[in-house]
Amino acid sequence: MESALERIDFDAVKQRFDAYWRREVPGRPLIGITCPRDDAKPTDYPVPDTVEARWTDVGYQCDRARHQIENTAYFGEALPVFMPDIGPDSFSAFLGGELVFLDDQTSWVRPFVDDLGGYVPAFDPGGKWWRRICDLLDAVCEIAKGNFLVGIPDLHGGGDALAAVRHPDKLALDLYDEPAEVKRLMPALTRIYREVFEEYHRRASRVQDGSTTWIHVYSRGSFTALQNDFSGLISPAMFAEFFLPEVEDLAGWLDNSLYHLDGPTALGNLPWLLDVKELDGIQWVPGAGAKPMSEWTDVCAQVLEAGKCLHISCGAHEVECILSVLPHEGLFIRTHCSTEAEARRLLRSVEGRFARPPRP
Amino acid sequence: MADLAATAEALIRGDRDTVVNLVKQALDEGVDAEKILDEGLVAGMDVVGQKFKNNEFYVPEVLIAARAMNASMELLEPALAKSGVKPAGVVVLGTVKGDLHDIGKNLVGMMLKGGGFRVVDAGIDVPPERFVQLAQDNGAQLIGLSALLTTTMTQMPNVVEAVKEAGLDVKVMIGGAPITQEYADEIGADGYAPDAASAVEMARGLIG
Ligand code: B12
Repeated sequence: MESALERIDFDAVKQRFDAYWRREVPGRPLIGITCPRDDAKPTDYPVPDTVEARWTDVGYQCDRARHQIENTAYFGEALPVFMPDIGPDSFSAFLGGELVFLDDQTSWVRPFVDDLGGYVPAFDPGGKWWRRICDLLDAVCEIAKGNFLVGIPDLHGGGDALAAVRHPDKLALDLYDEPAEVKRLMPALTRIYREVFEEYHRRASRVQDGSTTWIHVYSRGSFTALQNDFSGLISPAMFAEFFLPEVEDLAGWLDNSLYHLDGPTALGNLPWLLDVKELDGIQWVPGAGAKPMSEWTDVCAQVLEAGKCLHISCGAHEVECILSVLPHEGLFIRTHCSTEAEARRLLRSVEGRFARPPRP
Repeated sequence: MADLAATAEALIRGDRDTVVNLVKQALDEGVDAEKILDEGLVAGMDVVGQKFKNNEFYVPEVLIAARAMNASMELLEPALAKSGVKPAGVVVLGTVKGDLHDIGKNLVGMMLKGGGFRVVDAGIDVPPERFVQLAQDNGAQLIGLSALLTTTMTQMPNVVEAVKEAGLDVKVMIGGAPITQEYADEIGADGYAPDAASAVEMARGLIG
């Protein structure tokens, strides 16, 4: 396939992300713009009949990756990334859960832990779902080499894993009924998380330097998105008591990390997260049906002013408005345009209006 | 002397043992079961709903209160039945087809129970025919639909349609994060509520 990494100036992009992690502005604010290529072709590969095959068929996923990368144009710091994925509950599936594929967007694990006190989480590297994701990862790596980047598969850590294996309602009660058990389980899950991440990283590193994930940010070292959607359902005090230690641990262990903060109900946890010294930054997602990003600049400013990196996605029409009110150090905006001309125009405008001479 | 205010307070704290003991004590003293329900349990759950709405309470706090409520209802139900008190109404509640999110739906269910309704839990990923069937089987006056995905909220008009087609005299109330009043109007649903506490008020309005 045609190399998308050659289409972008990957060395320059890497340097801009180096600056991002240092909270510096490399000449202009970081912005990643994607759009369909002018000469985009319709899909031309066979689609498997069953939902499960559409998630897990190696040939199909490689076709998808190739088609997506070849038909997307990348501007600014937009990265050509494909992430093999069997859904947000994959980590719980590695712990022995059975993955159910509901439709092309949805997979989940049925809760299977009835007795929290007796539960000892164990990761089985011979397990079905772990083998499936490794097969996908290896196959995508094979075609990615030199052409595009492979994302570290979506990993939901201890809080979300416990919510999935128990059911969120039960875990919510566990926080009152069996706090000591939750505290016993969290570090055990963090250890498994590290094991899983290391294996993903090792496999991806055979074909590429550095790492990225479903958040399309590049790190020369080890990087992934830390996330805990369950934390949006509990008080900030409980988040700090039960789940913050994992964030601290993983942020310190990874070379670079962004915490995925999802929805207004999770905003109460932000002050705690901003206090985690080793955490590089926050990805803020306002959630379904919420106000557009340009109306969340107070939250964005809070993150940047705390000296953290920020990653946001917004509509192309919002970019300049957001750039004119936020500090640019540590800011990375991603957006999507409908044509290459529009994308080029936006990038030029950002370069023109918000250029900043390099620091002496 | 039975202290119904203390019952409500213990319920708000989610202190199941205390709530159960106070309800038992009140029943032993001959306090009317309906009075215990209204001034103790329902009053407490109303506060819980308000606190949840105001972000003072989160999901765990609502769940422990609901659990205390459920435990005392077991004591109260025989007495309520004996004195001929009927539930405020029967509600079939479920998450629409294709959608697995049930935390919000469960909270609404608990608050409705707290409000004196009988709730038939239809579960998750529920097709329209099943809602109709359960409403018929249980003599429900109200169907409550929950959807958390923009891709599954489009199932709601199908349920409204199915209810009409079956010729049922049952109202439909909808909710979930992506749902708005405008959407309810658009699809011809009878009511919308943004949160569990308002859902109870809405149900009272629709049935009452
Ligand atoms: C927990 C969660 C999950 C859990 C669900 C566990 C469970 N048993 O419910 C799991 C992990 C399974 C999950 C899966 C998915 N999820 Co999800 N999930 C969430 C999350 C984090 C919280 C939802 C929640 O429980 N909120 C708390 C409750 C209390 O609020 P609520 O449901 O809104 O309910 C209140 C009101 O709306 C109202 N209400 C609710 N129902 C009703 C009904 C009536 C009749 C009335 C009157 C009122 C009412 O009262 C409730 C109490 O006040 C949200 C993000 C977020 N922060 O909101 C994403 C979110 C809803 N999920 C999302 C997505 C995309 C998914 C997946 C597709 C991901 C995937 N690729 O697999 C799957 C889809 C699964 C499916 N088909 O349903 C998106 C939806 C985006 C969209 N626009 O559609 C969200 C917004 C995340 C995001 N930012 O992208 N998810």
